Formats: sequence, C-alpha cells, structure tokens
Amino acid sequence: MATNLEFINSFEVTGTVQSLDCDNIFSDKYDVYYLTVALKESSAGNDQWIRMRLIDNTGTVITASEYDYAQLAMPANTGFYDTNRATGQNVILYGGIGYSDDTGNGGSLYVYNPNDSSSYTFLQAQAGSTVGNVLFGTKGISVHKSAETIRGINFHTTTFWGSGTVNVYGVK
Amino acid sequence: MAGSLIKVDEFTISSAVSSIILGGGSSGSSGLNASIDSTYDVYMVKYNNSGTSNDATLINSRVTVLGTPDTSANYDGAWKAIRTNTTFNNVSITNETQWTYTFGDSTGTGTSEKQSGIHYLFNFNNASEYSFMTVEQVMVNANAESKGGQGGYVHTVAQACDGIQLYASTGNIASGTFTLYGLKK
Repeated sequence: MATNLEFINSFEVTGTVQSLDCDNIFSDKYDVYYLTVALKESSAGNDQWIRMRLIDNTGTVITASEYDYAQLAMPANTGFYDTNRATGQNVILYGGIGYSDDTGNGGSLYVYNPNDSSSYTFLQAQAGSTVGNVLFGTKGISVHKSAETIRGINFHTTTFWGSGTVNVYGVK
Repeated sequence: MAGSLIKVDEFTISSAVSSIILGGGSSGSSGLNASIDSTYDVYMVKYNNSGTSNDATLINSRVTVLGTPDTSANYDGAWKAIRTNTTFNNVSITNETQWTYTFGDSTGTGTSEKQSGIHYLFNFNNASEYSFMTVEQVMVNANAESKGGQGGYVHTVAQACDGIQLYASTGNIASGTFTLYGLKK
C-alpha cells in the first residue's frame, strides 16, 4: 500500500556555512509538509538559536517584517519560560526548531499552506537541543503574515555550521 | 515503496457544515464508510485551513461510537496556549461534554484567520482503554493574533470508538481539509 508521507528532498551542510537554503520544495502537490532538521555548529562556542526565513516564488529570501513567532523554552536545569515571542519581525528567531551548538540538535517542523497564494504560511516546530551543556526542549509556532506563494525555507545562524541535514517530506 | 502513514478518510469542506465526522462508518462525512478500527493502534488527523462562518467561534470535537457522537460529560484536557503577543496560558477542562478548542480556538473570518494542526489519536478502538488525543496546532485567531496550542486530551470512558466528530460552537465550519491516517503497526 502506498504511503502518504512522501520524501521530497534532502539538504546537507557542506563545508562551513552560515545559511542553508531548502529551495523549490513546496508546490501544489501537497498542502502540508514535514521537515526533519539536525544542524551542528562547526566548533565549540559557536552557539545560536536556529533562525528561519521563507523563500518566495522568485527564489528570494523574504526579509520583510512579516513574521510572528513564539516558543516555549524548556531547560532541564531551571524553570520553563515563554518570553521568546514577537510580532512583525524580519526573521523567525524563536520558532521552536532549536538551538545549535557543537553537540548538534534534532527537531521537526510542519509547514502549512506554503503554496497557497491566498493564505498566510503557518509553521509549527519542536526540538531537543543543548545550550551550554543544558538540555533544552522547545515547542514553537510561527506565521508569515503575508498571503503569497512560498517555495522554500532558509535556515541560518549568526555563527557557523559544520554539518547537518534537513529532510523534506510531503504529507499527502 | 511500502509506507507506514496510510490515509483512511478525508473530507474537504466545499460548502459550510455544522459538523463533520472522520471515520464513523456510514456516518462519516466523506461517504467512504471509513472507520477507526483495530487495523491500527494509532491514528493521526491532519487539518489545514480550518475556519468558521461566524467570528470568534470554537471548533470542538467528540469521539463517536458506532457513528454517533458521545455527548457524555467525560472529556478532559490540558494544554499550553503559545502566544506571540503576550504571556502563554495554561488551560484545562474536566468532565466537559466535548474536547473544547481542539480544532479551532476563536477562529475568525478575516484574512487567513484559520487553524491547522496535527493530532494523534490513541486507543480509540480499544474497548478496555480510554481514548487519548495529543494536539499540536497553529493559527491566526479572530483578533489577528498568531497563536499555537500544544496539549493532551482524554475521554475517560473505556469503550470502542470508531471516529471523531468536529463541530462549530456557533454557526458552521466554513473551510478546511481534514484527513485521517492510520500508522501502520
């Protein structure tokens, strides 16, 4: 019997990079997408929350102030907090997809309606990360509040990744 | 290639309806006569663009038994409302007659004031266990606020359930595609 979770593409970090474009992954074939994300910083001390932006239908990474986001941060050594939230931002800084350091991380992300030109694009993520040797769980959501066709997603950091992979699936 | 996520039922709203049933046999909205049964232990519901005809409306849910929604006061749940513009909320229900908010929390009628999510259903068809559901959702609500929800629900009756009903708290469900999958054993 055919599966309804269909592999689309895989994107791998090669060399030392600050940005990973997962382009041409969203189409009219699916309404909902599932991504697995595992990214690792190139060396100790290069620690950052994983940032996201969407890629429009011309291949341009969207930097307009159109992103809302919020995440529940769940550190293992202290109280959970909800202050990672903002509206009208030019990047998704705290979307719940986690924190990358030289021990790596793992997360997953659902993307809803990216190819629908009449709808906002919605994202919902969760991840496990280490931040300075402390385990962090995150659950987050984000919305791109512009009704337009989206064809891809960009992950980036202000430091450097040395390895990692993003796998993209369509939920048929 | 064989896979493990199998589509069981699907209904896309083309004209507004007060409620829909995924699974539920001949009571199902799709006409496919699909049921939640012993084929799978765990089912998944994917929904996107869930919206209502009235502003600030909830889309609640109930289990179905032989296609009929169970309206007994045995629905519990707890979840975290993940909010982009203010402090997060802890919300809970006990002994309600429905799983409140589960497919729409103050859904609006403005631009993209819709809700999407992934819910997992556990033990629905097991007559000796309660029915459980986990919820992961993202939305823009009737106040144009970007918001999410993460939580868990239980129906505290040990019975075999064959589907799930979704209904608008007022008016109709006006949009959305709702899909039921089985996770292969």
